[in-house]
Amino acid sequence: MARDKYQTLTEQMFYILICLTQESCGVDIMKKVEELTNGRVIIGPGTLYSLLDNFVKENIIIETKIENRKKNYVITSVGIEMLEKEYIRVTKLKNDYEMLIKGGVQ
Amino acid sequence: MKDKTKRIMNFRFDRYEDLENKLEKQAAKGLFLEECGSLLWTFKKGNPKKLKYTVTYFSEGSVFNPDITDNQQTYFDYAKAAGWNFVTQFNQMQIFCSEADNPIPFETDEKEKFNNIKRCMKKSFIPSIIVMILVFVLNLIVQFNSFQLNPIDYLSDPIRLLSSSMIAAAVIYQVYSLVTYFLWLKRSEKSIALGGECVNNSRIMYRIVDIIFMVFLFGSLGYLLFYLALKTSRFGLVLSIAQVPILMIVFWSSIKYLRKKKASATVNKLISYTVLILASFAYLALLMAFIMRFGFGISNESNYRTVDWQLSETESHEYRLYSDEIPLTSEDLYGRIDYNYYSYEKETDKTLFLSKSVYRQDSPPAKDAPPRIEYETLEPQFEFVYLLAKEHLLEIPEWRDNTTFEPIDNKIFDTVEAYQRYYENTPTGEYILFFGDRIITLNMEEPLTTKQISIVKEKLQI
Repeated sequence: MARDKYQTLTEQMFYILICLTQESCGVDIMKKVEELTNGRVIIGPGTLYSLLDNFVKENIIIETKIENRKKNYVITSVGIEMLEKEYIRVTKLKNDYEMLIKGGVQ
Repeated sequence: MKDKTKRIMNFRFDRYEDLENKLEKQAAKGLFLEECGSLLWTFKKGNPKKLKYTVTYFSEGSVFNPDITDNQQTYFDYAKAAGWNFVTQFNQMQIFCSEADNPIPFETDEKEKFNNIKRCMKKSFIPSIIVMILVFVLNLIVQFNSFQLNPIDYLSDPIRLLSSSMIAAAVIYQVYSLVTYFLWLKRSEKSIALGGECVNNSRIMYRIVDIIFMVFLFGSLGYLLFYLALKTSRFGLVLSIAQVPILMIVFWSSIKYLRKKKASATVNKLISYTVLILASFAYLALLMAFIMRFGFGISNESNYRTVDWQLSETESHEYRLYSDEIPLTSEDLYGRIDYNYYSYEKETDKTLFLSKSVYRQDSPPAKDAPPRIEYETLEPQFEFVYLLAKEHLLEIPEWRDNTTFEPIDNKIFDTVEAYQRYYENTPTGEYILFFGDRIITLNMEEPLTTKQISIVKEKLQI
């Protein structure tokens, strides 16, 4: 279980996993991420392919079915756990910032 | 077929940026990539267009695949959704193009991109370079061995020197390719660790080195072919030099044919490699047969006639009788000899290191054969070549304990150093004469008399 490399998620990884809380295919993920972030986060096709491939290998997501040649994926409990961890981490960052910077100024 | 054109593309598998720039420039000139090969790439002619190209690597890609694999199709679908159209592939290298001004970048995570490139290069680029280095180094070892066996022949043969230097250059270039790739790997790793990108691998320096290498390679090849075609008719040598390209063509044709027949990648690999191995043996056999039948070929400048010589009642052999001009003849030494089957042969070779002229007057084997003489002049251009030649000439194999070289008086031939070969304490007609800037060897049937020595000195301008 070499999951050290996913200790912190990149934005692209984070949004892919968010999208996969609902079963979807790669092309849909690409479009959804762009919509969700108003074009702030864009995933290139090469990167999308390698990330999905790695996620499947690490059991973070699983392949569900192939529809019209399109592979569909959905997040696993391992993936949910990672999202959760990331949420906690980012929240901690946000809280620390509010306390130390914003709170400190006042 | 006029709307298509083939171009020689000198590309490095790992230099994706170079290739992208090249393809974009071609498109701006109205040439659009259609298919790539190991050297010749096919372009379609059209109206100049501003196109963006991207070169990526897909680890499942292989020249043996009969079709696009399912995973590859998924990859293409993602690319299509981002506005990138698949153009062509070569092994793992995948080429896409886009008409959009600012298309979505193909890779948006540098770390993933870097890991992918590293994985793909490990699979094909690095092993193929290592195999090539091994093959070439093996070839160089064989060449070095032949140099050690006879430095005089080796250093005076322009063809062998040139082919060795071409192989050496190829080895250096391959090692250089590996080193620059690993440097790129290291730099990129560092840059990505600091939150940066894969470093640029399209550098002016690299391009200059590539150009120098290609000019040297094609220049040498051109010279070699020119030399072989015009100066000599050494078909044997042409055949041996053509070996690699011919075998490569056979190998690629087999791959292409099986791919067309939709053979699976495993079957294709198995059959194509078998074909390559069988073809190598067949070629070698053909080459051997050719050389045994005709020899390496002879100099165009020689004129000769052939005689069918009866060796015994049942055996006969074809001999070549040359009629070259040679400075010293048996007639000069021994007086008038009437013999119809004398061959007067001259062979000269000249390189940057050494010029060698061999003169021979002999005849097919017979009981009443007239005396044969052979002599050689060597003009080394460098001190170390002189020393190598001297050492080689005076060398006597360990197992030959009945023969020695004995020094003779320098006054006899006006030499710096001179030796005569003795066989079981009896002097023979074999001399090695060292002068300041040249070496002469004489190989006569009998030791020379004082009168003959003065004739030799006069004729060979000693």
